[in-house]
Amino acid sequence: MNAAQARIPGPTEMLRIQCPHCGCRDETEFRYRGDASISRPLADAGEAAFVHYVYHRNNPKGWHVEWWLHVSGCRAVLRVVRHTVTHEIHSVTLPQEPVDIPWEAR
Amino acid sequence: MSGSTRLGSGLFDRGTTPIRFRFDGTAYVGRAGDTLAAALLANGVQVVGRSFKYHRRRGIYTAGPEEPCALVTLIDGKQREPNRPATLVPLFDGLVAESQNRWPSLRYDVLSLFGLLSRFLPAGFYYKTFMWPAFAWERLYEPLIRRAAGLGRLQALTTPTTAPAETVHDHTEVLVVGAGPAGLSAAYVLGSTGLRVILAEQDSHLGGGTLLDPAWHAWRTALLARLTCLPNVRIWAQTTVIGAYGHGVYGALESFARTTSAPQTAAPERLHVVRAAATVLATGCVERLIALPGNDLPGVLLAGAALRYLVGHGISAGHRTAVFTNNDEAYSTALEYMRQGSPIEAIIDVREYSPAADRARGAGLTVYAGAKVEAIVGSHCVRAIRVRDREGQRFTLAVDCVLLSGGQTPATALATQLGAELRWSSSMAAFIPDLAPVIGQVAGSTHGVCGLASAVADGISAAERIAATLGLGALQLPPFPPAPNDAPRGDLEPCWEIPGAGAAFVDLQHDVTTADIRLARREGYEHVEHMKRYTTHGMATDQGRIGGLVGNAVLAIARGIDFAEVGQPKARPFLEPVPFAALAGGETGAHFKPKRRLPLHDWHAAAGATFVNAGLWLRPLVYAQDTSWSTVMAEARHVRREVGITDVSSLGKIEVTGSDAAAFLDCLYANTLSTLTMGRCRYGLMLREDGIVLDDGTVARLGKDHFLLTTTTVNAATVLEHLEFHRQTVYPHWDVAITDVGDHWAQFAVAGPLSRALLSEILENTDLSNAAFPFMAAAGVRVAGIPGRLFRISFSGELAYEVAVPARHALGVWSTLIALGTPMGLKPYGLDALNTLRIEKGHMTGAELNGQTTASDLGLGRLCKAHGDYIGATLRRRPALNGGTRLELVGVRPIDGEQRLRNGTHLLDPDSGASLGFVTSATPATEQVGWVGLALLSGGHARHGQRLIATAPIHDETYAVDITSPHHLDPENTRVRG
Amino acid sequence: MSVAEPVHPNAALRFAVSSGDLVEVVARRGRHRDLVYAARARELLLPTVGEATWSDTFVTACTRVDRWWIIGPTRPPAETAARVAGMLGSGAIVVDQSSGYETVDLIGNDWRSALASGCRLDLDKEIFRPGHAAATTIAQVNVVLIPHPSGLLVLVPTTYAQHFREWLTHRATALDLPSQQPTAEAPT
Repeated sequence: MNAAQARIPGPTEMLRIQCPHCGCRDETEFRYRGDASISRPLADAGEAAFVHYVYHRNNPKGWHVEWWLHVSGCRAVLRVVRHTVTHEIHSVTLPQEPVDIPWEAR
Repeated sequence: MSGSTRLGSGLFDRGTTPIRFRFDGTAYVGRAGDTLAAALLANGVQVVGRSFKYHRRRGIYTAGPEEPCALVTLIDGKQREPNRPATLVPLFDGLVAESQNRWPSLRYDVLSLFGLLSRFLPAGFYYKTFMWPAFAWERLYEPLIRRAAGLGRLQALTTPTTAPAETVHDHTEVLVVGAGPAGLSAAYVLGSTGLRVILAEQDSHLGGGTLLDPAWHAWRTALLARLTCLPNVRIWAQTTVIGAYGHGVYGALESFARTTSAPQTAAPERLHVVRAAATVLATGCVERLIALPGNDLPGVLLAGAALRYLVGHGISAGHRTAVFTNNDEAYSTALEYMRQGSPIEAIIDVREYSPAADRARGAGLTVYAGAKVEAIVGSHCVRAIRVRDREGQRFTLAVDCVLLSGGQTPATALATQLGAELRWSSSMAAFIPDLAPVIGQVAGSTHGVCGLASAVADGISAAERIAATLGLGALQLPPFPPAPNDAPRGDLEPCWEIPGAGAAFVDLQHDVTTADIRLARREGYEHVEHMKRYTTHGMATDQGRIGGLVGNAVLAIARGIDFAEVGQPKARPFLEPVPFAALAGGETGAHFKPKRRLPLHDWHAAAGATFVNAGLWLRPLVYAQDTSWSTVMAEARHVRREVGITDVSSLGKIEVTGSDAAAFLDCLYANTLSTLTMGRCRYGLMLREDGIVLDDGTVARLGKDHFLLTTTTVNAATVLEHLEFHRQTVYPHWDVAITDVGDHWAQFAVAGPLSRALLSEILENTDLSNAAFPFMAAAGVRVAGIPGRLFRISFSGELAYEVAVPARHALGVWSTLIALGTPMGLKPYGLDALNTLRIEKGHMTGAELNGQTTASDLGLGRLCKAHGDYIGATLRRRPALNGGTRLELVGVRPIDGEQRLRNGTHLLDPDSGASLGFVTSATPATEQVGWVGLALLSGGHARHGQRLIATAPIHDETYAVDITSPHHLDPENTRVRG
Repeated sequence: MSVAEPVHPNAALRFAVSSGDLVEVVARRGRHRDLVYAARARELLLPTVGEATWSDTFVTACTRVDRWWIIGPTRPPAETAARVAGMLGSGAIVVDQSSGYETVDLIGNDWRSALASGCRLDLDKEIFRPGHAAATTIAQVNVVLIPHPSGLLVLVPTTYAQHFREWLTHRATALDLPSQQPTAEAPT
């Protein structure tokens, strides 16, 4: 198995996610945890900030940064940069690592 | 009976032992190695089924999975397996099959009258006609249409003798689909490098086109011998790759040919889920038909299929055969027919010239070049063809068999599922796919390459490109056996339709004609996907493979646009019908989902417990086979009066450890936990960020940096993920470790007025007095010699303790508790009694923590921290989540002590009759007369003391209830603190 | 830790439930390096994620960052955890999981084909071999796999263990691999 597999573009009904700890694993081992491009506001940020954090989502046609929790493996939360049309996975990083977004999405 | 007959032996014969089988009640004899279709042809059986819509007689048209007509039902005792293509059913002694879609018999099918009406039954007829009156749809039209239409009848039941199907996960570097010359060569080259290779072939014979050319037999045999010597190459025959799912994942269905009529013990098929780093698609081509009047008559089949029956089985499809073609491939069939002595009356070729025609004439065959077959005629089967020659002369040839060849269409379905670009090849008059190199390569005839030697070269070249993509560098090619050269080849001349009077079919299984396609366009369904759905072209079990492109071409011509612009409909998985059993794999019956068993499961069973499925858990409901309220209430009342013990091991248990553990829990729970002193427990309420309650439980502080959380049984996994997610993403710098210890600890609740006396007897050196071990105390204890934990917590509302010990010692400890406790009145109680006790006390479970209720709805608003951050802190304060008309937790009791209260009963405003809420939990009371319950009621906190109307229309019940505090029992908590 | 002797020497797939102790060790935040050194001084190797080490006393496997599974012989309750905590010092959080997981030992060469029907990992013997460890899902249960030269250790959460063993027997039958019912082994 190589990492290139998980980066194959094309219509996809089963993602393979390259876990930095466990290697390439089936989507079924993970739990989707939502948009990773937004962070929890500070305590005193106010209601509007939290409403934005909880409810407001972009629905991009293109690159999307999202959290996937590897529940059946290392139980790490992974930041996955996935293309919502082709399902290509550009990068998989840990929360403390910098986000790796394709240049065209910046 | 027809002219088809067995002339001699064939490549696929396995001995000459006669194989007996029955078709539609008649006994026949075939040969080992035959398919059912071959054996029927050898016996001269010409009509094998009726068509879907017009019930026209149909014969065997192809020799593979693309078969549109010869669908049969296989009968095995009481089991019936419908819609099996006879072309794929291997013959075995004792096989019984029936034709489909006819009543009462194949010969006299009443519904074939539809055929006479066919000009009145165009595409969309049913949509347009049976519209009025509306009520007639359900009662009249639909049952009628369903009886007339439909393919074989499905048998919904499986018998215990049905072997389990299975799903197998496979991994490989390269998946090669198709074992023709290109696929074999690619697999051989890639396998020789040491890469893992899976070679999947839908046919039971490996070789593809090389099987049908005797000049290639030596090459094929030699290559297969070398290939099978490579241990890293797995070869799966009779395995169809049924879908490509992206990211290198493919589904492949392996069928196991049944070889005997004895009961089957092995699985009939196996579904492989293949993960491959790259793929070679050498899926070959499907020969296509030519649309012309009479092209569906029994006796018409595709030229390539006829060649396979002759070379593979020694069977000729007719006595007097004509070939109608627009390409060179069909000439191979004609020459082989002549060589084996089966007369070819004529070859009618739409082209003016081709090298193949010259070769055929040289061999003594009659070729009409630049000519057309204008119609195939015959009432029940082929009797003659009407030919129009180059000069426009019309004449009739008496024949009993017509071999059609409209060209080769690459099998592009898998490639398009992988996002392949399709380009129109005018030399093949078909679409050819190109894959992104990172996914793989298309090779051989699928790639538009003609000729077997060229396919070998293309397979090698595909393998080299794959190796480069996988980083193998330049390859040292392995030695190949010598192969014949390809003969010079003439171009194909597109020929889609010969217009004329009479139905010209493009989809034989669904009876779609060229006229239907033009009608669809006229009525506005001119997009190829719309046309497909309007006419059902290409939607049958065979996916309309042999006529799919022909129908699309007819549409393109009608619209006056390019074929490339018309395109083709999206081909989704599956490529062929897949039994549900194969998809389910082993996850059926008892293995459908896991059953979680309590550490004391066997004890509970031995004690006569009735178990209940609670999520994945099997939990004792009541310790009796009689699960009526009287046994439940006896258990519950025993706890209220004396003492009971129940297994609460299914609670989630999570240890949170670290110097930041207290701060972390303050952020995850709505109430404060950092002020909890060591050796004490506290109720903990967890919210979602939107302010809705997520879960509740207890938190015990076992050490300065060491907490033990319990969760509700159903939310154990959810809470663990919630904690882990927030620790890693929101509080990544904190020193906190979260460890699931749910299965390590067994936990028992000992509840009732006598619980202290009982446990004081059993626990060694432990002072359980209120002063030493008050309500909400926690401590390490030794129980029956085992180090465990003791908590003074109560879910029942009684004086109660929970004892936790490692699960492997649970039976010993529990048995000791029972043995020592029984003389003091200790009895086990089940989940129902536990539920009764908690409802009376006003404790909540999933019925109240339903994902819609907030802390203030549940009367827990004052628990939540007024200051400081925690998950849900900001959004729970939103006005709409607090007070007003929100559904709030209340107690409810019918004023009539005899009246049963039911979950789901609505509570109505006595004046307006409007529903104000509903009952979430209900039970008979243990100490008072009648029933009590909990309810979620609009503005409920302000309604204590009100009398409302309860109604449960499905039980025809309406009665008055009083609204109370949810704490029906001991609201001052004197018992739990006693 | 030892394993029950197979009853049928010719059985292609055998499995036994071994009763060792299991401890889950977590490195406190920022103490990973201290912990690995402290362990090494006591001849306990703490491998990196995806690996396992075998010593005379302990099998140590790592399937999560900063966390290890330590499997050892059965001792009186909580003693193994206390011993490991003593060896590792203050950098470690040590949690007894002896009752949390059942250790199923699959013996023989056919475990790969038996597991292929439920395990999504690449179990090729060149790719997943002794010295490796992996956490994954089999038969809808989260398990830890630790291959060894004569078979495979599977850590199965206790409350799922019977389901897992029944599934394994069922699959082995479907694949026509003779299997042996699990035998509980006396503590060593």
